[in-house]
Amino acid sequence: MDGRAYNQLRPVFIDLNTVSHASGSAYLEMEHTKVLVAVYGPKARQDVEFSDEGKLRCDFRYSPFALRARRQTGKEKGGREGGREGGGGGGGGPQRDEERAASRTVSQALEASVQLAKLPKSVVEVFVLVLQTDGGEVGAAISCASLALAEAGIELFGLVASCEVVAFMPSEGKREWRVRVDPSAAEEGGEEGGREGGKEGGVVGLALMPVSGEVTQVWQKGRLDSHGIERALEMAADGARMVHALMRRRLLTYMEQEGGGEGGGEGERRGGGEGMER
Amino acid sequence: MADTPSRGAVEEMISFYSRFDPATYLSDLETACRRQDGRSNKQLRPLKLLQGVLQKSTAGSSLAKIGDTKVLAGVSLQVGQPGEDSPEKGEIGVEVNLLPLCHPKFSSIQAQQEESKALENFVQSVLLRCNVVRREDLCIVEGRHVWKLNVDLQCLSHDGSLADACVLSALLALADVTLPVTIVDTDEKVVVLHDRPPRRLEMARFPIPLTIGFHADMLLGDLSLAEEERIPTRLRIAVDCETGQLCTLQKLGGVSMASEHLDSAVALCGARQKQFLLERDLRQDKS
Repeated sequence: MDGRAYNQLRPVFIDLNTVSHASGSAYLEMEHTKVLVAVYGPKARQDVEFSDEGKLRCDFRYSPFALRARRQTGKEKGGREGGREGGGGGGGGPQRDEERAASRTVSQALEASVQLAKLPKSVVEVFVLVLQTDGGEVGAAISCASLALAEAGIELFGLVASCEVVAFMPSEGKREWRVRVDPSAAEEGGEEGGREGGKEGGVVGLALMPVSGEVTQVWQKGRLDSHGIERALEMAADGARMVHALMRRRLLTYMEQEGGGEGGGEGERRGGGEGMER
Repeated sequence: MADTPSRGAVEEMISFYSRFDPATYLSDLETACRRQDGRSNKQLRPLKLLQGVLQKSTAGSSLAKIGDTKVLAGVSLQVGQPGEDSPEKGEIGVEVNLLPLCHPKFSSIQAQQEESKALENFVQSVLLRCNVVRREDLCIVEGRHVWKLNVDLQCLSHDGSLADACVLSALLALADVTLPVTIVDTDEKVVVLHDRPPRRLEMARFPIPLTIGFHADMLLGDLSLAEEERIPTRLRIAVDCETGQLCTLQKLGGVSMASEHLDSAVALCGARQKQFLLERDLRQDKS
């Protein structure tokens, strides 16, 4: 829709160490989707007396701007509307339903990548703030949070990169799936995303640890048959590898600049950015 | 041990010292003339301002950075009814969002609200009492429809002088706002004409804020968070960006101070004004 090839990501911008008091932080931008993540800890766990393993706690929030824009486009559902006139919510108070669901998606995607066995009795807090959204904010949050964890010096098995795709059937009658990588909100919300016109189609998100090839999280919305999901997952994995290459490159240049601060446990590995044109 | 310790080592020592024995650290400040981050007393942190950062979701937006303090501002437009006592004036509302993301001290909702309410009040008072925008400009139909501007401030990183960053980003976001052309249809409803070029909101005044700490007969410009925690006596000053005239002056608690300090405090705020003008010219050269 914006002139990209089907397997082309939106322009990505990554910044590290943006929140001064955090243990680690990262900012990731995929054109209009902008996400900031701060990691605090590891610190002592208060909720239990003893635990062999560390815990990852994730708090996902939309900024008031992001929320307003979602409301205007009718994306914001949920009966429990904040109700504050002109108030974006966001700030204090409990999370909204969608924020809580996204928190879970992000923490599950990351848990498998953190060497939790090395952090007994501790908790690592991951705070995600979506500044602006144009689709793909959950995926962006996962990639960004993984970078923030690495920047915090928390030992990882590998970086987690995530990518969302939209799968749809372009022509009537012929059952052939087309997949578009990293869709914008317009692309995933329209006819192709299976929300309108009763057509088959949906959005699939995948979080992948390209170092080991392990998939840490998959989520899906909309109607897809098994063949469609298969195609979508293939493309999402390709997309995630492209994101990973960018993340890895940024982390390495950052660590060179900082003069060898300890980074995450990202292993030595080929980049895997085959289709990158940037 | 080297004879002359490196700058980094000195900073580390000062940082450790200030945490280990804050009372002595503060009393030694007078003789040392060196602050925790290596600045001199009147030295301000670098200022960086960006406009139009959230074009997709706001009518006007900006990002203000003072050192490591970062505040993002976004303005959203709403059509509403004017108040009864001011039928020709639009409204401006301010909301400040503090999350545990920007500093761990905001981990409880109570702590968030306490500080965000105080900041909201301050920003609101600067915006309205200093008349930064002619509220008559926000009128659509007198007595019936006016624009209501919601300024959302989101703190991204907190390292002191948050109020200054809030005011600056709110002002820059307002300066970035464009109001669409509207007509009122037969049902008394306001219709936005998207094909007409929108009009930029004009800023009547642009006050430049600075937080100054007062300790042991000394003024410290642009406090960092560590300093804020230890220096309770604070001045908040704002001067007009063009004329340098005083717009706002607040002294927040703490010890009493001699009135001659006020002059040098206002002069210190002039340094922030210069910093702002320089940054603005830089931005204009780029665009």
